[in-house]
Amino acid sequence: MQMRFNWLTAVLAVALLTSVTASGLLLSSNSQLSSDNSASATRLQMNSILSQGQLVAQAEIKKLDALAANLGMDLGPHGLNGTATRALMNATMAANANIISILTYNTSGIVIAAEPYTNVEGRNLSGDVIVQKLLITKMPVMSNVFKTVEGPMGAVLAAPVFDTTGRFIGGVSIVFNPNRMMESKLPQLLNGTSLTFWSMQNDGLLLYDEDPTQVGKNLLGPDYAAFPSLQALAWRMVNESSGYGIYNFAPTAQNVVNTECYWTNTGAHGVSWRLVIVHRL
Amino acid sequence: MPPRAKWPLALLTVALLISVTASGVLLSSNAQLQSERNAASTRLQMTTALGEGQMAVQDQISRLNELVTGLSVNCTQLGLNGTALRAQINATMAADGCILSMITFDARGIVIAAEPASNHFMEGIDLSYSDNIARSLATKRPFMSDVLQPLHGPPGVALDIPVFDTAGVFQGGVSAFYSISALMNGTLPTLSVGMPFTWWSMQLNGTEIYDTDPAQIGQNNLGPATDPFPQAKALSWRVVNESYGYGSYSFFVNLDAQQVVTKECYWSTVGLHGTQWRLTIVHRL
Repeated sequence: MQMRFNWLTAVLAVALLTSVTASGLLLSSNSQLSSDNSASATRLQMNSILSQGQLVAQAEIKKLDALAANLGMDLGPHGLNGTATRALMNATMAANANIISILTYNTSGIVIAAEPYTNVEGRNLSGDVIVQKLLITKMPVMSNVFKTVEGPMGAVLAAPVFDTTGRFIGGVSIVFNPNRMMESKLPQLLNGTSLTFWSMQNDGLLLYDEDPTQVGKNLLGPDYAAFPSLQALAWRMVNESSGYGIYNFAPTAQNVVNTECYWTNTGAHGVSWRLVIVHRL
Repeated sequence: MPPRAKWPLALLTVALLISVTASGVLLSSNAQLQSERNAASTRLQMTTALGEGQMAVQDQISRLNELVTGLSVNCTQLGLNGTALRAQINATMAADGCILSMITFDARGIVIAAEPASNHFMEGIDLSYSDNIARSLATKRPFMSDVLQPLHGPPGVALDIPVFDTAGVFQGGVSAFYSISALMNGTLPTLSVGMPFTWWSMQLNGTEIYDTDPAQIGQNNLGPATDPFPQAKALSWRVVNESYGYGSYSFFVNLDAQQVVTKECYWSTVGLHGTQWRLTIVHRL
């Protein structure tokens, strides 16, 4: 009787040990799966918001492009200067808060009318790559981002102007602020998440960042030399229109953070900007 | 056996019961988590492939645009006809296998040169009535049409770029007619090799312009084809109205099989010169 009792106790003990071990393994597996699922959910959310951000940024550029094209058409009957022309230019500026200035120029690239910065009138822009391209192709063009004389970073969307007989008489350029454009649309896509956006031109120039002190710096230049993983990733972004990567960066001197990101492409008329969504690990 | 000796046995039994129950709960939870992981992994693969597909298609369309724009700039010197121009038209077509044909047209919409040789019959025809040419003549700006069905040959998309003479006077345009189906077929399937995904694309009037199942190309997803599938029709309206999204619907696995299955999909947008198409990646659930 005692021997059977001992056997039963031993069997139960082994069964309990096995069951507890199995539970432990399952618990560990569940913990790993929960962690994986949480990481996957974050990445899925990053991908979804990035795609929406790309389309939103693209739509904003298209709005500005359409404003430039329509202004180009509207100026046809009025010419490149005059009261009506300036009224149309000012109405276009009022229609979009991202516009910094608008100017018209003739087929020689001479600025004919500029609003609100009239001091550039008479300046010869024929040496400007984007003006040259418009004068040659007579088609809409977009420039890379540059530091405007007015201060902020700007990009140009330009459209040809034809007179009422269909003769090409010059162009109209809208200078807009890409940082303000993105700032007005992208953060609302991130509501309730811990994600952030930044954007760079294909030469590494930062166009947009939640930290305004980074805007205007070049990721491929000396400002970021202390962060080789970020610079290596920025080079990947230059060469690949979309992707995923991890980098280290220190928003403050003491605080180095490990970050994962997805990026994609946005732009118009052959100009490419990378839009990046970021998650601190 | 004294009663006290039975206590360890009872305790072991209770502990075992609790442990087995806990294992059962954990096992069930594990299965659920595994299933969620698989679903999340699939969706992550879908969104990644969709992003790559969107980029690849957009790059291809932009490349075509560059090719035709280059030709239109050359027309400034060469004019809208002539041996040198025809050689350039044929070289442009050879540079991209998706281009089915090309024409030049003057400022009245009359076809001046048409290639390949099988299309020479079009020369002299007045195309000013066609929507895309009429729009090019009116705006003198680049334009890309939705998918058009010509009188002869396969459907395609017209990409029209204006031509100006050296004095800046509008002369007409160059129009490349290309197969969007060939363009997407040459791009998308390679991005989902080894993955259980299919693709379709539709223009904003609901017409499918590309589908991994070729039988569905040309079908209108807002029309009678989806009447028996209200979920699919509702999703198609969402796809028309939203530039990006996720949804699920029931539809035939393919038109030949006639087997109805549930599918999940993500969609995004591609396009040029204001024309938009939705690109959709699909996973059968």
